[in-house]
Amino acid sequence: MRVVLAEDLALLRDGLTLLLQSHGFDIVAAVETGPELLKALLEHRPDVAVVDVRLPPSFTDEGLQAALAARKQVPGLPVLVLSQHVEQLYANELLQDGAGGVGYLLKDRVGDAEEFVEAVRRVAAGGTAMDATVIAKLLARQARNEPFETLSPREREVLEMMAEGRSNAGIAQSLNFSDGTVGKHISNIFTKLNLPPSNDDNRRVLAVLTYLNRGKAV
Amino acid sequence: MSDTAVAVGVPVATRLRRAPRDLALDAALGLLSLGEAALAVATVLSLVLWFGLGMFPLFLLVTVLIRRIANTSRELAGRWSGVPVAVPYRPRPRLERTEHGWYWSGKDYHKRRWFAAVSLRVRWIWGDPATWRDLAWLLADPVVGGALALFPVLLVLTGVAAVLLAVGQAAGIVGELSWLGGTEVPLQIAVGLACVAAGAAFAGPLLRLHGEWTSLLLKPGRRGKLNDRVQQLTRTRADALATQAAELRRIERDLHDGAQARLVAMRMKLAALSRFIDRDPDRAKELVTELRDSSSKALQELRDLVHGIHPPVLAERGLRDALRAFVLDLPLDATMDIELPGRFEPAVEAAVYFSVCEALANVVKHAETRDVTVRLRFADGLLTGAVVDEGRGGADLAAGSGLRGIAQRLEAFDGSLSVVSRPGGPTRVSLEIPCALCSPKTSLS
Repeated sequence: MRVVLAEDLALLRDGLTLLLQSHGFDIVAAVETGPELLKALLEHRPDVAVVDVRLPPSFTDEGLQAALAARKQVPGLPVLVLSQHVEQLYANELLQDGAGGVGYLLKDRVGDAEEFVEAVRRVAAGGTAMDATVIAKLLARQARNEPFETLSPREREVLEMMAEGRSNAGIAQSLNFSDGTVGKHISNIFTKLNLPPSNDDNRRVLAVLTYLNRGKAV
Repeated sequence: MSDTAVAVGVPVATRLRRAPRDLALDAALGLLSLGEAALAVATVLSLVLWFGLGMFPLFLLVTVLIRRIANTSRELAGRWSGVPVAVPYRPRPRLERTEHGWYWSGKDYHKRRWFAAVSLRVRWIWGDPATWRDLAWLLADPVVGGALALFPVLLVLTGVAAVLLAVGQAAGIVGELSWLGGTEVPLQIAVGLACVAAGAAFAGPLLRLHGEWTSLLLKPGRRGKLNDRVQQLTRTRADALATQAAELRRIERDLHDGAQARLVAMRMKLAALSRFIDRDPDRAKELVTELRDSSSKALQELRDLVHGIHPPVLAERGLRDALRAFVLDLPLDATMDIELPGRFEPAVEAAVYFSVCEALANVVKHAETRDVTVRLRFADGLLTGAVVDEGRGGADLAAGSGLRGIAQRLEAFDGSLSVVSRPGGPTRVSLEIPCALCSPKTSLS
């Protein structure tokens, strides 16, 4: 699987390169700045890009901007954005085009290699990987809303993991459920929240995220 | 008459309606001028007594009266003439007492309290340029101000007298008066009425002119303004430094009790882990999980700390997006009405950001509403903002230490914060800060 990597700190760039190579990824470009990243993304059209939000020369959100610009030209180009801090604002911007193939994680998550690599694979396959922090904030905001209140604690747990972008199998494994139980919970959630049922994992996740984001058009 | 009306821009009808009031006020100001004349004489006398015979108590008394009458004139200029005049005096110094019971007069130490107090007071009044401007005004105003105020009044009185005399003459009650020179009665009445009309017409403009004259001498002088400015800068600089020092202490404490303590604990756990790894693999696994938790907690604490110093979104995107991001995490339905042409100095952005955040946090805590509007604009070198909620109101700048701290932070940039909040709402927190626009792309590294 071909990967473009953008990270300005050499220590982390080398670490990520090593980690991804050891899991069988092929690093086609490892760049340091925003403009270089945009060029590499359009030139290599990688299977997935792993991008740090804050990049030179401005040290603002150049990485995110380059990723968004590239996705405008190549819709659905899979991008996993890493950051020292996560913001719903940025998450919404990434999700806005509704094309999927988006990830947004805290840099800390790299520390758990297995989960991180799993997230990279998921994004490459057109899925999503949202940081648990973002999802927790989204859920906290919905906590007092009408249809959301009817969810049982278990269903909320399942919803949280689904919103992070995990597959049924992944959720089942984390919560020690059978696949069937997870499926039942998910169909309950969709009925209670009045969402159209869908068999496609990725589209289902996007529907959930859209639902959680509703009424927040700022 | 119509010419003046056009020149001043007030319709004749309005002018006529206001004329009686204006005349009454002019008359009152004229009477005040008489009082000033008396005080002026007393002042000259007191100065003569002081320098001639060394008797200064009378001068002290006189200055109190001068300030009182000058302040009355300032107030009346604003209330009656529509020309507000600020009070220019330096704040009264406090008498300081040393540990050994001496009193500091501003120049030297005195054992007796009253002596030091009087000395301090003389120094305070004597050294204030406003005192001398007051004095100049006191000597000139009985003539200039008196003439301005009394002219329309006298005109009207003359007119009324002329008409009455003419009518009396016609009725035979009053004998023929030589100074009217045997003119025709209708002409006398016409001249009298013309005087009344002219007096009524001049009443308003001269009242205004009186106000301008008062402002000319009684408003704060350039030195007074500079003095105010120096005092304000001294105070805000001290506040800013104190705030900064407190902020550094807080960061130091947070690092010490937070990330640093966690790293120490992690090192201890690592030491334990290396002992358990062969002997007790289950215990070792537990420790690994704990270590992972500790490290992510330490990272979270560092993130929170960074956010409190300078929020990353603010550095990356500026005020608009930083506030949008902040609002996303709040249980509010906020309308973000923010239109800014670019970026500002990081310190200014931070001050405004934390101000708005504090105001929004107060809405969450106290307002009992979800509806809030945040508005930010930049025009003519002034960044203005408002946070308005339709909640229960009753907020008070003096009561909340959070808002007071924010006000201090803004004052360091010559900005200001104000709160208007009636019980029952709405509450409006407004801020403004003079600043310059930076270029939209500024390296912040």
